[in-house]
Amino acid sequence: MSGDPTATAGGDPTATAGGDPTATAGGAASRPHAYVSQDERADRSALARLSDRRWFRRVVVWGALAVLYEICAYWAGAYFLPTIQSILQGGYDLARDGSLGDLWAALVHLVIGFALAIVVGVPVGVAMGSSKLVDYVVGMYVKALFVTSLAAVLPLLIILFGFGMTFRVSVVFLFSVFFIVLNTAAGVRHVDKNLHAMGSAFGASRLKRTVAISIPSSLPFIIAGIRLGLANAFSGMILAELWVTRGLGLTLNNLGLNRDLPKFFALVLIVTLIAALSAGLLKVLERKLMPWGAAATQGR
Amino acid sequence: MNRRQRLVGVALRLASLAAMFSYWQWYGSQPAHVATPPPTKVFPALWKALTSQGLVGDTLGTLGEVAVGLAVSLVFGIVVGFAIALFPWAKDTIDPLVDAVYAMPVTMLIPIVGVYTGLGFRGRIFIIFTYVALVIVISTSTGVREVEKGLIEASRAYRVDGFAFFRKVLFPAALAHIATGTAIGISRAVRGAVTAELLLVTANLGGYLVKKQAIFDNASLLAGILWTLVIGYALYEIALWVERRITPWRQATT
Repeated sequence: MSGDPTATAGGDPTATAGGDPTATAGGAASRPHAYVSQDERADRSALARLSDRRWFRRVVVWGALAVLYEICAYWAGAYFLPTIQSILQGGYDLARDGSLGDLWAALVHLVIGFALAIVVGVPVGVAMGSSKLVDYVVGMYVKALFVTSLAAVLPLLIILFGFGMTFRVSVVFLFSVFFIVLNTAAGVRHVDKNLHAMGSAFGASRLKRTVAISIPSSLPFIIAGIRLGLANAFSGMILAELWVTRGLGLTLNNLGLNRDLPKFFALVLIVTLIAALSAGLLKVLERKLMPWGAAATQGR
Repeated sequence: MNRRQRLVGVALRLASLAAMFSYWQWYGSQPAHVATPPPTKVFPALWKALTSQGLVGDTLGTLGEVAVGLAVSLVFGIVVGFAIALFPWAKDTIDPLVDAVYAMPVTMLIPIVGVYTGLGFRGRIFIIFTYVALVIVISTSTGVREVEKGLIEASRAYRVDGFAFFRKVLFPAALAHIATGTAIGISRAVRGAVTAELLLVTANLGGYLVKKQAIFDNASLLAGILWTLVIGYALYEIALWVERRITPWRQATT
């Protein structure tokens, strides 16, 4: 960093103009009101104070985005972008013509596959985290399958399990289990060594220490793994549905083929809402379990 | 970790691999399990596919998509990530949107992607973009937010501001997080590419798998799956290696 910074900034007027607010905002972001004294604050106009409010900003920007979208939708025509109004209407139609039943069936598969992933993933993760041996023997498969594209396995799963429920449940399971295993293992490894030392000083067996120390202290990691796994479980569910083109997958494909965009968008929004709500719920749980709140997330 | 422990680790891993392959060999050789041929049939099929059936070309096609998709996502992600980190307005309004879109199973868009991008190359790039872009946004904004306060104050004291502040202080400091995001992004890009190739319009690696499944050539299908998994894993490892090279002061977080 030995170059002459002022020369760079001064030499290029656009850079200065574009860069200056960045620099100021950087300071402001790091400590929001540090430079504004109380008197100054009182002097500022009502509008400026209002624009500091988060909800005000959200209303303005999101409102503007919605209006912009609506204009684009009218401009592009119903064949390309459905208006917000027609999306709402599409959601209403979906609820009336029974398409949501398919979604419900798909969600049941999701819940079964995901429950299996938790039941299998947490113990495997605990074993991997607490025993080097298990980590060496199992860890590499878990890590390899975690980072690669599991979608490639779908053609094999179809051959093995057919088009039925087993296939969909197994896809959901595969898509979510590795997040849970890896996060649990990371959590168990992060447990304070002193706690274990204290445990053995009080004569607790290894099993007892795992149950009484490792699992409770890695709980936030486990929940974080479950949250990330859940997001992936949703993509697994959709992937499986689209692959077999029955139920929800068939509905999606037909809506796409018929270019019934209002209904399609409504369906996407409903699924997103369900996914976001469940993820948000887990996030709240995470914060409750670990109020001191370090980010216990591994990978995305 | 000392040398002996490392040796034990390697030995255990090799033993585990050997056990897995023997089990697979035994399992696949059973007459009841024709659907899953043993490694002795899969590896010759893989060799054949690589040497004479164009699997290499398919792989390069997929990798090309991954590269383009990743590049587009990086440009978008870094710009938006910096915006979220630097402007309180953007943070308050875009952040929740990013969270919401992140929760969306983007695979769902496949049936209508064709409407906007066509079903060819651009469609696949779009799917990869939807898989990767948000990861880059999130890692960039985290990186910029976590730039040390001392660094910012020191640069202020030396009057480093404007573009130079961005280029010489903020960007390098955030680079570690961006690199981590890119490593994760690469594995997601491969996922997106294969998903799009399987479901949007069959092509490249995904196309190979679908072709082999359609003619019930299960040895070649398993070979293709194994190959795809290995390619994805290798890319991720390479990305991690590059990340460590770019940011030697920081240990890999995964």
